[in-house]
Amino acid sequence: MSAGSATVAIGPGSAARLRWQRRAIRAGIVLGIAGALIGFWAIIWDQTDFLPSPAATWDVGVDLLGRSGTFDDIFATVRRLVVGLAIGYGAAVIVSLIMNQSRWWNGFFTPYVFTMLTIPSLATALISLMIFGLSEVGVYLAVAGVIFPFATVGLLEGLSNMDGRLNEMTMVYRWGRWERIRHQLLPQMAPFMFAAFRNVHALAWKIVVIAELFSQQNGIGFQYKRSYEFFELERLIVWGIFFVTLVMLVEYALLRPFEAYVFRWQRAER
Amino acid sequence: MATEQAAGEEAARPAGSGGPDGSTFIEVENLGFEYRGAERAALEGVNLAIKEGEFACVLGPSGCGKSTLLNILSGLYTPTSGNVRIANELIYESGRRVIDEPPRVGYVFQDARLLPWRTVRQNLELALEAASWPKAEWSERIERYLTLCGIEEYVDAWPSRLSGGQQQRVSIARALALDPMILLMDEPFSTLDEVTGRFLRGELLDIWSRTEKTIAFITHSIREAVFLADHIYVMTAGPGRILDRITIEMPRPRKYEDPHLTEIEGSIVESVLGHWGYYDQDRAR
Repeated sequence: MSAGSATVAIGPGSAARLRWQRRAIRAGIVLGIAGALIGFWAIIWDQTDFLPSPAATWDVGVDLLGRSGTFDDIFATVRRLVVGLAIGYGAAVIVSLIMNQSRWWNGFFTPYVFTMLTIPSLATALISLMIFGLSEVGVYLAVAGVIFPFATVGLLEGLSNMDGRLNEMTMVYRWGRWERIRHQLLPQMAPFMFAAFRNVHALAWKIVVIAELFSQQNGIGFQYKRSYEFFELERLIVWGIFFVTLVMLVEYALLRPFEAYVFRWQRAER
Repeated sequence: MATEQAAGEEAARPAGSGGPDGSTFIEVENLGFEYRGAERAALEGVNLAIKEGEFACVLGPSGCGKSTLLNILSGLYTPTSGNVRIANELIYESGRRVIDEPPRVGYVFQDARLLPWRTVRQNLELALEAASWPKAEWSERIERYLTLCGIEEYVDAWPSRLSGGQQQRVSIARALALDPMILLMDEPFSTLDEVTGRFLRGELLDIWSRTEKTIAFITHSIREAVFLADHIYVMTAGPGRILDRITIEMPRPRKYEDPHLTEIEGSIVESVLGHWGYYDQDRAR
């Protein structure tokens, strides 16, 4: 705590209260806009040929939530997402580290990474599905294959921005390679790792749904296809809302707290 | 080696090293260094003989290669020519490293260079681990050297919580905790405000007298050099060479404001300005 500052000193309690007040106002605005949109929807829906009523959509949503099959589909998609992300992002971490540490390997991987970057994501997904015969593995590798080059490029950016001064310190003090990676490199990489992850996380969700749509008999993608084929617009909207909720959950319930923990040293004040 | 030490004792000197009578501890012969692709050498024909337990200051203008010299002593760079001996062990000969395990050095940079994402304790632990100190001794060593540097209360703090002066003290504690053969310091107080700098200079001398380390301290401040050093080694501008070795005969403890110190500083300034060519309109290169 700084003593004798020129501004009005506020205690820790009131600072926290202010923060929550601001967040509440912000949430209120967001919800207000959502509410306005729903209200607009309620007014105009029967003017159109295709929009269902908010009430009907709500009923379908409640009904779906009551069925265990819904959660089977959700878990299937989440499983494929997690495995695909793990493979793709994990490979990106390893490859980017190798490319950073060795000039030879850098030259080796670069053409592959940039080729994969330019192939349309849909093509990568479909190729993977065709190679692996519409199996689960096909979906995992579709997701992994699409996100891998993006994550690699993002991580390479970060690796090229390392602080040379810390490097000198660890060299003079004769740190081992693993200590350097774990305590010097990875923490410096952390902001870039989060940024690259957020980037490919969003992409992975899109790809997993598309891959499911083309190849699977369960999952959110399958449900989209079914709703479309039976022209069940309510279901389409409801599954869309489930989808968005999941993505938000990952961001706010998983990523942000984890991020706050990783960067807790930054919030320390004198 | 560390494992043979009793707790709380300093390392026994390796056989054949400079004895307590003050024989040469850091010996540099005809050292040369060229950065790759540079037009001229950074260091050329540097000769240095620093005694054990000496506080040596290397004084020179910007670009004279003093940091390069320190980086060679620390093992960071390999010289392009010349020999380096530390504690009578040959480290570099004719531009090649000839030893498998160069001796442990403590290095204090201009900025503290602590890992901001690890606490003070963890920073020191990592240094001890890299130097292969047994884990059982870490806690005691950390406490001892943080206390010596006056910051034991911050042992579990994040470095960003500390002021510049406090961070530098942690950096010094980290260097000492390894029980290094020599302590290398590259203008460690130049980024601090004057009051903190003055205070830390005094603290450093106190720490030096208690640990009896051999210190090579780089500075561009003549006053600081006169206050701290047993001997000042004056370097030329690049390519760097040791021009002069000035012995500071003042008894310790010295006072920064001492008029005698000011006199010595004045005479050094005169000679140094001459050496560094400020009185010479067309210096031959």
